[in-house]
Amino acid sequence: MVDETVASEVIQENGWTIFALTGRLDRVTAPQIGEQAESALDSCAKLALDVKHLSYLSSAGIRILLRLAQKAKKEQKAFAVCGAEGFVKEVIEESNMNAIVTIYGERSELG
Amino acid sequence: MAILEVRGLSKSFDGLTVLESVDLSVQEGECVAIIGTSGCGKSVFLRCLNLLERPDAGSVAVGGREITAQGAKVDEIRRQMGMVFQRFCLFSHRNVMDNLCLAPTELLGMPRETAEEKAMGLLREVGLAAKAGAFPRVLSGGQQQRIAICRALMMEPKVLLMDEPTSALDPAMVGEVLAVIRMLAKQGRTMLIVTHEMNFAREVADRVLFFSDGGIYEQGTPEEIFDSPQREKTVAFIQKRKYFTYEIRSKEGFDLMELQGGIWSFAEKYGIGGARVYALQYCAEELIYEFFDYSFRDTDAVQMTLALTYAQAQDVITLELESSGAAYDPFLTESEAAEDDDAHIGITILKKRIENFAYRFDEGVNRVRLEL
Repeated sequence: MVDETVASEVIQENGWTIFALTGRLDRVTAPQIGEQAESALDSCAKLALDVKHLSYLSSAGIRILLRLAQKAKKEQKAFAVCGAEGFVKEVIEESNMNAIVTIYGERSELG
Repeated sequence: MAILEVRGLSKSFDGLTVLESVDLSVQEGECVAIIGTSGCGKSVFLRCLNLLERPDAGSVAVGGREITAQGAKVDEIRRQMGMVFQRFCLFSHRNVMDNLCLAPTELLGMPRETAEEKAMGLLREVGLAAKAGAFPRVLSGGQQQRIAICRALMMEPKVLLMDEPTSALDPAMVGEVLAVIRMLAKQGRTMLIVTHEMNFAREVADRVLFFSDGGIYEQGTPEEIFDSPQREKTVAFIQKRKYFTYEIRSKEGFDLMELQGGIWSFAEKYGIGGARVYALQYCAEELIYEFFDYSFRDTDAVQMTLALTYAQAQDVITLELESSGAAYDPFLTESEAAEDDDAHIGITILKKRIENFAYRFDEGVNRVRLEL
């Protein structure tokens, strides 16, 4: 079945605030996740979006990543994406986002 | 009594048996759709009925008169069967009215005035009264085929034979011809239609004949043939192509989850793998919202149909999106995340994933088609 929703979890690890996503990030689920992720960025200096358990990503999700990257840059904070696999990884690569966002393979690679 | 009675009809070409001892009775007012793979003999069967092909054996009778009998008045009996061909076959040097009036005045001795009156009535029915003076070359394929149907009806045939009446048409024109045939079915015309339009056959036919192995391999109501075919080759034919359609009538009311769930179930049922399902869902989502945002900018009411077709034999999935609204070619747009312009990034990514995509706008409808 389709994962009906998306879930998020905030974890502290190695000086990073990890915003971990599970499920689908699409036009319907993106607005809520966008708000949550932005408020997580507000209250930390280093935010990483862990998409390891994200199964589906559309351009609505890509736009969230871009907003976060822009906001982090403006506020001189660190922002990274990690854990992308399969379809999600392909979409991230095809969006050319690696030019403006640091992408890590695994959460453990976060510097 | 049956209006059309076929007994033991056989036909072979150069030793290759195409039809072998086919029997068929068609009742007055019945609409019969004939389906089957290319080369299964369905068109040959139709052409044998009015002796455009001479059968090797068997008999064909229309309204109780046997066209295959020794000394039969073939031309007279043939007139009882109006024929509509794939390629309209109108006289190019005569206008529409002449095309329609020629046969009834010459062959039936109908006064020209009566013929013209009848022709105008038919043209009105198919929405082409304004084209009576036009020559075929200025008409679209769909219009020519509607005229060709009128021409067949001018002779007041007892049975209409249609040999793939939409297969030579541009996809955009298929609808208008099917609409005319649908109307004829509602009027209770007796028709035999060879067609590849399965949805149409299902909707319009009283009975469906599946041709294979030199004859009627299986027959039944549309429900019997399309929903629960019994014999092996019918099952293989019917299940070769799989369809999924989804209608959207309002932006506000659109349920993305429901659509994606539908695509998921469709894919799961036919063994389409995980990565392709996501790709399908991605294409559907991006295209729909691209039209919401740029073709239906200031309105909530939309008219969109998303259709998926899976050709199992070729392992190709076709996604087609038909959408009303302002003409908008989504594939002309381009944007890159790295360039700080993400307005059309969804489509930009889509174009990187998909090699075969096309856009057309005709008769007020945006048509997008892509293959995965």
